[in-house]
Amino acid sequence: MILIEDVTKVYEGGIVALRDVSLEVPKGEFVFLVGPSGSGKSTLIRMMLREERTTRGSIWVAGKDITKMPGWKVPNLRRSIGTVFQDFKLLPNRTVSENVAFALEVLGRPKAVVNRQVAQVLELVGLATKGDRYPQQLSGGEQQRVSVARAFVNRPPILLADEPTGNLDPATSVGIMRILDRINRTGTTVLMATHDHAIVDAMRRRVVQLERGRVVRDQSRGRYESFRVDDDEPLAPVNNARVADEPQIELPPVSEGPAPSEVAEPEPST
Amino acid sequence: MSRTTYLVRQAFTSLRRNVLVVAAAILAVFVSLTLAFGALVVNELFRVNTTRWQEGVHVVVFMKDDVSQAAQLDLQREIQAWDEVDETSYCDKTCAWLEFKEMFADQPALLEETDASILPASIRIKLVDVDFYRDITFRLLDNSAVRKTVTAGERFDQLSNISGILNALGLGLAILLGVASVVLIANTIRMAIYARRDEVGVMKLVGASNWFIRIPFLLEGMLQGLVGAALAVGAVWAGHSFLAGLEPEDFLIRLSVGDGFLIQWGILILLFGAAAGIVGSGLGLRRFLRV
Repeated sequence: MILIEDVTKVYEGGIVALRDVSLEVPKGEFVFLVGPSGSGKSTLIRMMLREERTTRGSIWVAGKDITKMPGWKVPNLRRSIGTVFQDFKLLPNRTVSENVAFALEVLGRPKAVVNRQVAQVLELVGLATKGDRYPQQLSGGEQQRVSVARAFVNRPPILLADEPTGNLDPATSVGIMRILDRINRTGTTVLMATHDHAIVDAMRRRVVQLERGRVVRDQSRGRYESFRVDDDEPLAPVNNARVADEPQIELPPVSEGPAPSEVAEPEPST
Repeated sequence: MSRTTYLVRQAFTSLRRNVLVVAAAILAVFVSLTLAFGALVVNELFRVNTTRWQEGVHVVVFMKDDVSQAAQLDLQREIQAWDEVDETSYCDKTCAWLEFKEMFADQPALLEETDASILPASIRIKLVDVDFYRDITFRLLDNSAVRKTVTAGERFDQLSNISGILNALGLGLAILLGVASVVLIANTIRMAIYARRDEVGVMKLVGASNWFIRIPFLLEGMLQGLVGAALAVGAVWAGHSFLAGLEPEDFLIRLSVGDGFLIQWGILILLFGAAAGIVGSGLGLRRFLRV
């Protein structure tokens, strides 16, 4: 689904954000992208959306080399990728339903389809009764669920999340992770950049660790903390101490909601 | 369908949000196009009024209706005999009517309403030297058969000069203001984009096509240009109607151009306004909406 080949990114001024990063993410996988601030996680995500260009190397998404894609095809690429950010990016003058519907309206979907899909996805994130609220009337966790709903309403095959739980308390974060997990089970590839030790440790999915622009670890069923692959030196003790302090949260099992196949009803091709 | 209404609604909402800047842009379009259109009309008026002179006719003597044609021809013969006169020709009421029909060919309503009999017969005089026009006019002043003497001569040249200068000035000003209005429209579009940057950000994120994002802004700019142009056309039309009301009944001098001329150029001015609006918003969009 996603293939990153020897990607290097040098920003203006010679700051190297990524060095020869290679990564393959098969369809349907759930990947945590971890590493300290400035390690290149966000740059990687922005490049997958073609918000940044690569300096070297290529990125393949759904069989297409997006680094060579002409600009007018980029909107099409972004339609196949749902995105969730730490700061939600909701429009304050629109209700929950309108925020979610906006993603479909700008693609020119017919009203009936929009209404149906918005209702379905709000049900999925547990906000079916709050469609008429405005974002500022919701808690942070609820706002992030709206944002997830908007990212997924178009049923994209890929979901990118850049620290989606960064602004949320641990219990609320678990709620968001349950939704992302459920979305992943519908066959959607999920790539999530995070600092959240507890979440990573509880979910035990594939973990890709970046440090100073390099992939230093790629581990299936990994934990947040680890040892450096290259020199076997432990991470800075301050990190370990923080991990120990974090409350350990067990991710509750996904409740028996609608079966994934029902949720991910393929949209009519346009 | 809902997609079209969405795009149009966006454009109008945005226009409402910054009324002042929009008003400034529209005003600039209005003034510049009024000047341009006004200059065009004045030009046309000038052309219509000077057609007669262009064949070397220097003086036209309009005859009184109560003078017999024989007396008029006598007068022509008399004038022809003067030393200063090179050539004369006589144009009777039928000839005047034919000429009138030709001049107003684009205004059938006017032709319908006009009584052919009110048009005066005339003697056209070509002088040996244009400078003699004063003597000729003076000599004909007391003649009881003459209704009015109209001359080209110096005044014609002066008028022609002045009109040329005015035209150049008007056109220069119109071009300057035209550029200003395009820049002002670009500025309002920039503000509109800034006001909606969050929305535009989300639109890009969810993969709205570039044109889907741009069209409301282009529409907005086009509307500003179109409204300004419409006001300009309205102003020139009103001014022209006022002038046409002052036109003397016997059409010795014309103060109106045909409706055909006004409509044809009015449409062109409207298109020009719309185009200026699109160019302006295109400039405003250029930097902001790169993917």
